[in-house]
Amino acid sequence: MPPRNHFRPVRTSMALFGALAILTGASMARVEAGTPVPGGTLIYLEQQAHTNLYPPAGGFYPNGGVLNQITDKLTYQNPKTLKIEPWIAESWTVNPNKTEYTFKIRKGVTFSDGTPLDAPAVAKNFDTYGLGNKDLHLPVSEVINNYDHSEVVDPTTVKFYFKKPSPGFLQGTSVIGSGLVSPATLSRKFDELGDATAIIGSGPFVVTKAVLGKEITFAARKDYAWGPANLDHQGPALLDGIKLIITPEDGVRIGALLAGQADVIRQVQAYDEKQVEDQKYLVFAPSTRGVNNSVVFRPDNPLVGDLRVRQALLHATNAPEIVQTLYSPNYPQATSIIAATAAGYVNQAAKLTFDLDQAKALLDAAGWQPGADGLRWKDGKALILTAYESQPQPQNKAMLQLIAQQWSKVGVKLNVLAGDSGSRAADDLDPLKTPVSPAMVGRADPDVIKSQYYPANRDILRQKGGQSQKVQTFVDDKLNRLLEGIASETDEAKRLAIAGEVQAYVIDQAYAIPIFEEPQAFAAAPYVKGLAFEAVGRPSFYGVWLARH
Amino acid sequence: MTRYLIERIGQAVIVLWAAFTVTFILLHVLPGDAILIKFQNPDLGLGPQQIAEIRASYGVDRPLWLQYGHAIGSFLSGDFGYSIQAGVPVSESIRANLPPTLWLTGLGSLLAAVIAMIIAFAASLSPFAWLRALVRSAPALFVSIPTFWLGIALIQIFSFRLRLLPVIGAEGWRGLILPVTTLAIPISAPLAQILVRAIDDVATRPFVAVARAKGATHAWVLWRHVFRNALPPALTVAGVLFGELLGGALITETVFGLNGIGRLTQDAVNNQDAAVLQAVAVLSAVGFVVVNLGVDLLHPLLDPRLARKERVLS
Amino acid sequence: MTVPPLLDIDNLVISYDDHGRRRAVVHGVTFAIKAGEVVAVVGESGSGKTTTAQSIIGLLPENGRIDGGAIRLNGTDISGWPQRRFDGLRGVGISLVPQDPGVSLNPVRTIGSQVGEILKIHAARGTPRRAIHSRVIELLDRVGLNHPEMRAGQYPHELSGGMKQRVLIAIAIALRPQLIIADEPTSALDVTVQKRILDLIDDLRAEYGTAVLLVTHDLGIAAERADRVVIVKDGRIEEQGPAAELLAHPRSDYAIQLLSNVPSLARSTPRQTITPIDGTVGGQDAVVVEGLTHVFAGRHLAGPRSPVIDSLSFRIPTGTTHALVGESGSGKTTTIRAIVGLLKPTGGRVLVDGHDVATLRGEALRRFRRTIQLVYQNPFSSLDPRQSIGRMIEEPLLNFEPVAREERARRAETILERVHLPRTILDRRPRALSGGQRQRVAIARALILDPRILILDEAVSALDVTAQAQILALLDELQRDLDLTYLFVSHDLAVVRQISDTVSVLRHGVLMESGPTETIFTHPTSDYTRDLIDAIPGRRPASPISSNRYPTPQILQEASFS
Repeated sequence: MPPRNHFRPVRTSMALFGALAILTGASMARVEAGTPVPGGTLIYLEQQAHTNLYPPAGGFYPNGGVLNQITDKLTYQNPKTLKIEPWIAESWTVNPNKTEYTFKIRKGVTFSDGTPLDAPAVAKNFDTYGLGNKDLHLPVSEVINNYDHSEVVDPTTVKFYFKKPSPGFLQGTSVIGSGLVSPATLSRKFDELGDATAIIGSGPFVVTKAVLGKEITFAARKDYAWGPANLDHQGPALLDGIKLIITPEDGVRIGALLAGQADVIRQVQAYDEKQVEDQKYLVFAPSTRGVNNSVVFRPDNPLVGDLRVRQALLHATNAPEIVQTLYSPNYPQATSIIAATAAGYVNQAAKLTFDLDQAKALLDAAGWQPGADGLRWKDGKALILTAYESQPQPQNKAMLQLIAQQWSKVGVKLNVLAGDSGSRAADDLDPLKTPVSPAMVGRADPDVIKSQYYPANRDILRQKGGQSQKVQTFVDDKLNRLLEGIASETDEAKRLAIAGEVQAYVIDQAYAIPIFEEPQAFAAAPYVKGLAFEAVGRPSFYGVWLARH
Repeated sequence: MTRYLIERIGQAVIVLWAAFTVTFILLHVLPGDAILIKFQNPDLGLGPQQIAEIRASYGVDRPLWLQYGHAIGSFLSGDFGYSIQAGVPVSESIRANLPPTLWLTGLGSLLAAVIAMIIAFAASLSPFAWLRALVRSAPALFVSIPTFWLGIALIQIFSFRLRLLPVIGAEGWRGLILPVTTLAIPISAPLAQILVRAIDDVATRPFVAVARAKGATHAWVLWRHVFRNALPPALTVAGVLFGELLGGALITETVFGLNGIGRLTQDAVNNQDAAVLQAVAVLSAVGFVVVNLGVDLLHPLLDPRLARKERVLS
Repeated sequence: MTVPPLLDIDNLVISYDDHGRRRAVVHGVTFAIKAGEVVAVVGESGSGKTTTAQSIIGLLPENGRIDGGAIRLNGTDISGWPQRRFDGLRGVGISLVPQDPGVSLNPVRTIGSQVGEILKIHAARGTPRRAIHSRVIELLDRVGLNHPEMRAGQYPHELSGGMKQRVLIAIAIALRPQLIIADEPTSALDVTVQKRILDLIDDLRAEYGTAVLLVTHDLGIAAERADRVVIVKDGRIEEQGPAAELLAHPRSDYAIQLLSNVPSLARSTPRQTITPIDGTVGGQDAVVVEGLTHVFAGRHLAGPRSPVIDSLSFRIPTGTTHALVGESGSGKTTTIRAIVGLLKPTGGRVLVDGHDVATLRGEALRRFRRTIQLVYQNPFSSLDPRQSIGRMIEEPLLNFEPVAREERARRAETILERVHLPRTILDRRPRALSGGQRQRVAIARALILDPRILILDEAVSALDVTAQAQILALLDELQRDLDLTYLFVSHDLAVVRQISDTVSVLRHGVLMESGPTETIFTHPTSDYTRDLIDAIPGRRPASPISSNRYPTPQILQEASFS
């Protein structure tokens, strides 16, 4: 993680500018005005250096920001409708069991190294993402479940077989993590894929130069002619190129943008939005459309093993206060464990009320009695919980501290730890050490819920037989069955219904307290036109052009 | 001289080995490791089965001595391994990050030396006592300015407000002015303090009075007699400041978005990126050895008493 | 109208700023120097003699100020001149020969450049470097340095103390000033070198007609070299007059006391020998040195001049004082180190109380370390100046035995009484002490371990005559009371004569002669010993402008080759 948190207090010093303007904080933003002007290089400031660019690692925002420019996907998920549309695949068929997917590949598509993007190339991509490659240390992709094998039917037709129904696969082909890369890239070791110039995609931009930890230079591919068919813009990108520059310091990114040294920046903190908008600059906050920013419990820890305790804490949490205090309208209060714009969303707001009396009553009922020190005690133990902050999440530390303050009103203490990455990673596996954890994940498919909660995936609740050897007993078979259902139910309507059930179940069990729907906040100069974001908030510069200024 | 060199090289080898080994041990004592941090990371969304397989394929759970032998063996054969976090060979990381840091720290120390000299001279030569006192208090002020604040302030003033120098995408010397200044000012402070003290000290020595008795002016004496005698202690401190220089470089690199060893180290520390840290530790040890050897070799140039010892003896 | 004297100091008052309070150090000093005359200002440290000298050349410390009176040079009052005006006078009209040649040359610049500098400062613009260089060589040659071309390229550390002082004299005479201020010009030098330097100053004065203001604490030197003597004490003149007259018939009490304290001038009888010397009679020998030989083998870390001791033998009967006399480089220090076991000699052996020092191990070694203690010339240079005196005195105890704090304090107080220091001194810091007091503390520090033998390494050399006399008396008293054995290392024969029973004269590591003190002084057998005795200042009356002793005889060069 970069050191941004050490330097937080400085941002207030950046409030040197003044003016007034307002712009929509709409999660989907595509600003069009006038006739596009081709040419020019866009300066894009990224907060963190990218890490490994193996496409399935594209979940890390800086990685996604790079991969989204240089790779195409088999399908395109329309960010407005969340429908899957053609891209490299002109068309597809799925068997009713959702165990066989057949894609018809567009002709004439090439990777930037000249090799054709044909059925064998696509097959190799998904064989790798679905099965991994141990020799090369390439891990499997999170978004592909139950993958069995591929079959190249003919040069433009590829067929994928699954061991079990895999209804999420079609959407899975549209995400950044399924970006298509040249077979040459996939024959490299995982350990070498941090070199951006080694990632050979078929996208509208090509990495021409990468200075590790400093900048990446992209050039537009002049022969690019295979953008998503339903986009307004077709043909090569309008920009000549992009210069992505790592600028860790928040104040410097915003200052540089407002001083005209940059065109687009990523990661604008909520409290900085106003000064950007005051300058008539634009703030974009596309939703990540996945599991909301939440705190979750590890019920294996006896302190939070009791449903009443978890419910008490859920009702002791004042989410509106958090959103108003720390965030902006671009961070809507959560009404379920997934975002309102996510597929399968069911509103759970009625169960998420802030109610101190109820919280206290629940704790009383659970046997936690207020002690002299203001804490709740039971069997000689105080109700003291611990959570590690998650640095990539916006103002996560402040959020946890505010929650700690709210919980203290019902006699529960929450310690918020920073810790080094190693301790955090190790302690995170032990429910006794981290009974509470912040959590979020972005993906616009109900599969994301399974991904988050299922023991064989992220196992966010830490169930026995999951990620951690430290878990003693906790298993929720009912939850797991529902999650398996999401992953395997072939009937879309039924699948969404299960997703709704899971949302209700998780809240009923108070496994998670959703706080807000997390956006990715960007800011851009007013002359930047055509900036678009894919379904989970990664920027696409394909249609961007720079108006005269 | 040959024997001296052999001794120094022997010392250097021990220092490098110690740096390597201490880093190795530290990395294994700390909870978690690079593989855990990288693959447990929610961005990859890997399951427990998959993580276990990856751990096995990297061999991170082998006995410690085996790993140590392997690490030192590949290190000696010039294979520094891969950065697990960044996904590039460590050698490439170093190659990309070392030159900017060398430029930054090199020019930074040079500017720091110049600032320190200006302060030291002004502190002795200013015509008014109050001005001398003011100049003398400058280092204390400089020391208390955090590098981070200084960098932000310089950027605000010179780049964003006055728009004299770009911060983003600045190339060549234009891109170095602000970072080098940011790094130099806090580093110059201890140098200036030592230099001022050394000048005060040397100024009381009898040979200074002798020079003045020749009819030399204050400035003449300061430049020709006092200054060179005041340099060795400052030089010694300069050697010790190496660590501060690296720390300052880290912050400067972060503020200005420069790539460099400082940031590389911080990322590596955060991710317990073992291979990178091993290399950085040894590299810093090399830097430390080189700087101190440089200081040792410079001393005789400044002080002939150290240089001509052998001639006198023979 | 009469011609004014060259220098006329009239009721001069000087004060220092001492943390905001002004403290007067010179209270109305008045004296004059005529052209070509040598005037000695004699006083102990703190008498204001150096301050007076500094004010004449405009180099008072920053906190010093002339509060009254006048300094007239050829009738012009220069006391109020700004520094810039002084810059033109210094070096040209008045020059300076400083006290300690060892620290008075810039260590990082060559001899040639430092002599050339005074020429360069005052030379007309465009003077060729060649001209300056040849004048430098001429000057170095004139002050008696051999191979002047080579010397010009050397650095100060490559020259002996006497040679450095010659260089400083060359600088002082470079522009033929009317007045040379020689501030203790020889007090840091060995006696034989001292004599040669004073001879050189005499010669140059004769040649150039330069007046000399000789600032010294040594009445012997004043007696021998000055036309007139001014005796100062506490910033006031006690007495002044023609040298011969003043020394023959001192009128002030202070002058009389001063005269009696100077060992070389004192008419005191030599020390009563307590023990027979040949060792055949009576007690045991405390120290026996037999055929001590040492060669420095390592070349790369040893000091610049590696003295070699060659078959040195002497013995010190218990309860007596043996003096080891020699100039720098004679091997005195090496001998001491061998005796205390800090150095393993190449050959020969050292017996202390009958035990061979080199073979001592374990407990015996520890006991030995307590038996023998060292007292240095500058006892505090290696100690933390922030430590209290009490702590310093107690410190050796901490290294040797676990003694309770109260016991340590008690012993410290007892020792303090022994060395006649007030108990109040225990809480003070060393800088608050006078030189004599410091030396007493050093002795106390050595005595706290109840040693049998004290090695006194130039232990009184840095002291004023009065303090010196007091310390010598103290040592005498301690020896009688505690039955101590002393090894007294010194270059000052006058002092040696006063305190020691037996003497060894050492030169270049070779024993020149050894025997009872009086025998050595009255019937020296070696030329070297005779030279040393001859060089004791004050043994002959001041000669008015002396005969021309130039050219410098070869003997003057000896020190430079050691």
